[in-house]
Amino acid sequence: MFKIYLRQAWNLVKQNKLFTSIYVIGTGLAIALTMILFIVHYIKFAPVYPEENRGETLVIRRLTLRYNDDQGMYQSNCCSPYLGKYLKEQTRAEAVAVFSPNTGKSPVGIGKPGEANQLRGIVKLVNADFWKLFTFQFINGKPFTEVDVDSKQQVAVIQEEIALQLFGRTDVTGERIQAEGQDVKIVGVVKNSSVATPDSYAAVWIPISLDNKYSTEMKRAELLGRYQVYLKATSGSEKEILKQEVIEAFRKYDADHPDGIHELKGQPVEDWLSYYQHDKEVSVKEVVLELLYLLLALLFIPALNLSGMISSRMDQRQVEIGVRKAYGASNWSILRQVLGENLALTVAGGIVGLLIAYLIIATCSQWILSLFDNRDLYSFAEISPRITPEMLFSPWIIGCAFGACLLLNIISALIPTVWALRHSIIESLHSKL
Amino acid sequence: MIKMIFKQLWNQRRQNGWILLELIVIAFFLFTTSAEVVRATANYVLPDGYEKEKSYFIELKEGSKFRYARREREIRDSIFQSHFRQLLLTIKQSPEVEAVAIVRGDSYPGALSSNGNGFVSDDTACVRIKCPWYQTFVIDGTTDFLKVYGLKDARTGEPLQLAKAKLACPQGIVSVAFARQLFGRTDVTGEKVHFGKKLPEGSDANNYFEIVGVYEGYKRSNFHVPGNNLFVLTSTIRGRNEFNHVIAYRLKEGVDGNAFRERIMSEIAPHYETTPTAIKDIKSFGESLKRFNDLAGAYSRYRYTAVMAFFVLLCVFLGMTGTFWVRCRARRQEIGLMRSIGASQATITRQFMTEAWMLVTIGVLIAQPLIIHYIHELEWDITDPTAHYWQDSKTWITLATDGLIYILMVLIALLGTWLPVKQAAKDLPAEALRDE
Repeated sequence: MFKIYLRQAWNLVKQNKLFTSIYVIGTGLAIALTMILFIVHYIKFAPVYPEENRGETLVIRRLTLRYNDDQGMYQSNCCSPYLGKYLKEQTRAEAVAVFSPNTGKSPVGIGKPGEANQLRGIVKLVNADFWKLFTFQFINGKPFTEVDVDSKQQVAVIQEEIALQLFGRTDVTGERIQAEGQDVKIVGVVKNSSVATPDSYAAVWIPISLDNKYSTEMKRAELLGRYQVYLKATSGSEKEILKQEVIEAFRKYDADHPDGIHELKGQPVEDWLSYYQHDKEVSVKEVVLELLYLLLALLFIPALNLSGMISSRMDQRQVEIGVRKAYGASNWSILRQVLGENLALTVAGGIVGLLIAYLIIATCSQWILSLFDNRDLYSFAEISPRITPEMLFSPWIIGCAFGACLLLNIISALIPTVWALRHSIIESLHSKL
Repeated sequence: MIKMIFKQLWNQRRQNGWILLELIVIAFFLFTTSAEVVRATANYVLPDGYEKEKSYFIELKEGSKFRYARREREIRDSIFQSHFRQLLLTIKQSPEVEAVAIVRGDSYPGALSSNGNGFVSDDTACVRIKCPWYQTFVIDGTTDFLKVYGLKDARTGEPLQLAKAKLACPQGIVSVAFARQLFGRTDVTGEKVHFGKKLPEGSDANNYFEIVGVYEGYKRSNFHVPGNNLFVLTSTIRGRNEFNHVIAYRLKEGVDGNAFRERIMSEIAPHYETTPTAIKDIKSFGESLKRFNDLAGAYSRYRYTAVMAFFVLLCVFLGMTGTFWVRCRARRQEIGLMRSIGASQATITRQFMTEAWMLVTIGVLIAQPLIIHYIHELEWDITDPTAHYWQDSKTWITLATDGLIYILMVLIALLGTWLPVKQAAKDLPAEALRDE
């Protein structure tokens, strides 16, 4: 039976080339944009190298300290290294990574000693727990330790491509480089990561204690500073407990320092939600509704388009439907046939759409990741984000593409077909176009 | 003819219903993605209020091998300031440079910092206003920040001149928006402005400043209207902080900015590598604005709107082409009859295109209640409520965006209709009537 449907679908394709072309292009367009939406969000939120612990991560991006007695307030985009240490003591977080954010950062000169500006890249100040939170693969050497950070060792971990560009090899542990004015010894080389994972990305990572202002944060607001704090829970289900522990830690701190109160504004939040949390608190509902609205537009508008065409074609096929019903075909079998025919076309369009989506993402990586954002998180490094096969060919993405095809097919073909089937056999046989 | 076309549309209401529904959804969706961009574009074309061509700033950092060691704070300040002055003079004395300015680290276009505190006037009955961006310039005999920035006098439109040359008390200049919001007028030279709240006389000399000039609107970013901002003028560089001060300069006419930047980096920068004022980077005001716009997502929004508009308009095109292609086939007899009684190809094409135009018009009109509801519920930040820019009015933005999407949709729908109708109208009457 399925073979007959396919043969009939193929005959219809040959008879109505323009209809088929419009159908496949319309479907391909819808699937392409839907898949771009999926892939972009997959890269941002799914566990991809080296941010494979996103599911267990909680984030504090900004803090406000409001002083009592109308003495004003301090608002800071980030937190102090002290906050990292404090939260490590007060909570059961597996790791509390403290690192400089990339927002507003520009690439700086990196090079061998005496040749400081050989390359340009992002230099990130990180603590030792950074290497526990982000799952970098070391191809040479190892990460620097808490002892290295506390004793202000002039050490660095670098990306594989930086090692290759500077030394022509990757076994460069023990070599020295200059990065952001610091003369540092390489202790580790990691497999390349991409700007597409902006939280962890850098060309060179050095200990946070090498920052000149490391120990001179504001005295009145010692939890505020210039760093981001990411906490790793032992498992995804432990996140809520960890969140409560963080809130309790701040409450305790404020109780011990009664001159002001820290405003967390819903933080710490899940890693994915922190993308949307700029100046104000954002709820999960708000974000999901916005994405659903977009998804609806991407699938619903083409579905209406296709429905209109299918409806007109069903009018043309009324006689055929009448004949089939007269020979005993049930409404269900005719519905199945029409849905099957359209699914064949939709899947063809879906494959075209998926290929278009891959092509667009590969060629427009400079801006595509920030397409659905209200800010650009990826331009800081002044290089295009590298999109890896891991990010593109996940089973999730292929599954979503097929799901979108199925949904589009059902939305577009179901109502016109059901309407066409409501006619009696006599009415159908009498209809003439 | 219009009446006849209405009847045609009504008779084929089921087939037209799909395309009409699609047009309604697309009109609404296009509006939601375009309204913000229409407003941002209207802001973009407003004058910047300062000269961004030829103006640059130098970001500083602490030199790699420089260490203050255990020196006292006053000594550290003095070391920093002497190197800073030396670098400033070097830049100023370059033959390419017209003027230099000492600017606090957040006082150039595109600076990321913002200020959440309020300001009040001497008259306590006045409202307390917020000024999201206040900037500081150091003025002395060496610098000329007015020339570097090219601010214009709010009254005359000419380059701004300060009312007083000496700095007997803290002074500042304010934007026309700031003056209007705090005082309700623009002739405010000589008035006092207090930070946060008015303190008793003599309690804190730095808690207020006297206005010595009012300048025309100054846009913080390309995509906002000139808002309420102000410049506080000071005669001293406070403390040792390479992050807190930058050197801004303006080049003379005809000087290549990039060539001069490279000259600074290759000839001047190496001399300061081991000082507390090593040169970190040099950016033009334009580059700084671009970075600000990138971070604020302004260009992302344009891209998003362009991509979505392209997507939905292509949907309209495909929908119109597909629907009218099917309909033309179904109406071949009608077309044949019309041709046989003397209708020209142009008449038939015009009739079908009028149908398409009416469908789009009806679709956009039906979408209006949804659009009005959307714009009514939209949070609308108004940077300067006293300026009455047309783009701050929801009504005008609705009309402008509606007009834009209507024109786009009509054009695309007509193109999508013209292709199949032109093909169908070419058939000979005998061929078309053979089906009858």
